[in-house]
Amino acid sequence: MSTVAVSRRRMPQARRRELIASTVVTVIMCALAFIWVFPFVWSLLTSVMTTAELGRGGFNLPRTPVFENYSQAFDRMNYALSFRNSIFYAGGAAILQCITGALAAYAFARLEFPGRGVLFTLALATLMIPGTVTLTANFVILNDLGWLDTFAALIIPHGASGFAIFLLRQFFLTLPKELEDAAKLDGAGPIRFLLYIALPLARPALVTVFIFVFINAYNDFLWPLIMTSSREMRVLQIAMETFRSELGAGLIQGPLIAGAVLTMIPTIILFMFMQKAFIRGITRSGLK
Amino acid sequence: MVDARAGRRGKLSAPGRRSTAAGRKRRTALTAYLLLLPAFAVLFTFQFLPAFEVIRLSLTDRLLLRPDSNFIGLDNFVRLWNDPRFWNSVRNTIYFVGVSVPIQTGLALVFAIALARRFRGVQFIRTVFFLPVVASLVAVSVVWDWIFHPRIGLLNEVLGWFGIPMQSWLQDPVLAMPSIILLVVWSGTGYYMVIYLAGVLDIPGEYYEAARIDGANRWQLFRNITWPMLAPVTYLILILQMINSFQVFTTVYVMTGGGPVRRTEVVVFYLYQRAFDSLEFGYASAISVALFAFLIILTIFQQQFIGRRVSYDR
Repeated sequence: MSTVAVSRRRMPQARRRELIASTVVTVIMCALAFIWVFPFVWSLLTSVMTTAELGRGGFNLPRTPVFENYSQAFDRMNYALSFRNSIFYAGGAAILQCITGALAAYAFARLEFPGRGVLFTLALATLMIPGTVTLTANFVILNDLGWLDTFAALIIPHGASGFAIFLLRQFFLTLPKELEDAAKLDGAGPIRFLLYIALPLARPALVTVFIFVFINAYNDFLWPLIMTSSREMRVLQIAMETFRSELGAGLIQGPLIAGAVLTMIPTIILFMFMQKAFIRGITRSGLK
Repeated sequence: MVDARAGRRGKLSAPGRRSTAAGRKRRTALTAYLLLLPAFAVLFTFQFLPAFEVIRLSLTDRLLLRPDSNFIGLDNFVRLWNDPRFWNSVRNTIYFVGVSVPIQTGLALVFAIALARRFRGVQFIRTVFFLPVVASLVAVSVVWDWIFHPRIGLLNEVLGWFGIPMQSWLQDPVLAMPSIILLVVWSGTGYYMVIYLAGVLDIPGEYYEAARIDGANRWQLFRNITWPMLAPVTYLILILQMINSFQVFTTVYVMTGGGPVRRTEVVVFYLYQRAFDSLEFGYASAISVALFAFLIILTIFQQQFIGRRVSYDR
């Protein structure tokens, strides 16, 4: 925050100060943005360095890019399989939350029934239960169900959330009553109205839920770390960490950084395309 | 549950009403319950049930490999109270939260205000600050592990330009936690910036114009318009961030493993170690319950004492 006074009555000077101040702020923000993006740019550059080049340290550029680092990382992390597992986990959870969320949200927004307030409060209360404190209990429950180390253990527990219900309910509340009345006149019950009118209209909200849940589940580390154990079930985050720990602490190599790039890139690309939808998920759910 | 409620409702509304209206109401209610069923089946099994199950587990001596366990009352909590390693993890967590939350909130506010203006490339800069939020935390930790590398890391290289001697960041008991905080600030600030940005852009421009006509300077504009108007947002951000920060785990797991000499062992990491390394599920559940209780109290406290002061016409 700059504290340049703009209250002088002589406008030209005030305007000049204003301009200087805002230029200074812009320059500072650009410098900060450079620092912020630098780790990404630098990982791209070093992901193609030889181990000898990396070992020299400093800001050296790779002399001849070694793309072999990527094929090594690809093998070491069993990328094809881990990537597929991550997509199953993130995609499964996101699709399920869209379905369960839309159904529940529609009931809360458009139907009258006894217990609506209490049940909605209960759904929201789940947002107050921190995921880390129920880990041991969830492990025991999934163990009893015999689901440990399966996709069911990854996906089903994330198949519904207060977040999705809340966000979609907000959307369904905005649908005009006339739309429902018109549908009723045409003989459509609540289910038909939901399937053929409300859901197609809710596409932007559903995309937001999908992207938000997908990216979070894709990046999730703790849950798969605990609930899966076999090589075949490793998601990318686990594969990445395993690669790092197998290499040994303090050992930085080109393939490891290449692996980090391969792990980061999918959600970053997805975000680039769906930026608006993702950010809506944060601002809408947070700010009423 | 579904049938019982629908039935009771039918009985209550039957007298004095046409049966078709009551029937329609009952059908609507039944439809609603059916629509809620999938979501609530999941929420019940994996949110509510575990919330109670963890309390039950905390009162037992359950070990992971031995499913039959005994009820031991509050023994786990007595042990917890006298466990220096637990209190060490509490201290570390409070250190982490106490430093990272104010820095992130402050930076997020500054970034949001600076980027709420319109200039060329502002959208790009917003995206840049937000990028670490969507990047995998594990991969990002690997990259920063290397930035912090004592010999070939960039941080020492840059500090070297200013004559600051080499440090072994993550291996140094004093510097390990600040290093983790640095990474967390880098990766998390964008998230709160976005929330602040929505809040700043929501403030009607007329307020500023009116104040400017009255001769207010920039600081006065911030102090008397922006800050009070953003109070509910700040409150929300503080709650979100506290709850997130008290559960910090992944960066610690990847970068330090709780070391050196347990100086970065935070509560959730300790909980994880007890549960999945020494397999003491009962004891780990007691740690969970303590953390749970603390977070709930924190939320209520914030609602009571901060929440009241910030309700600014919302």
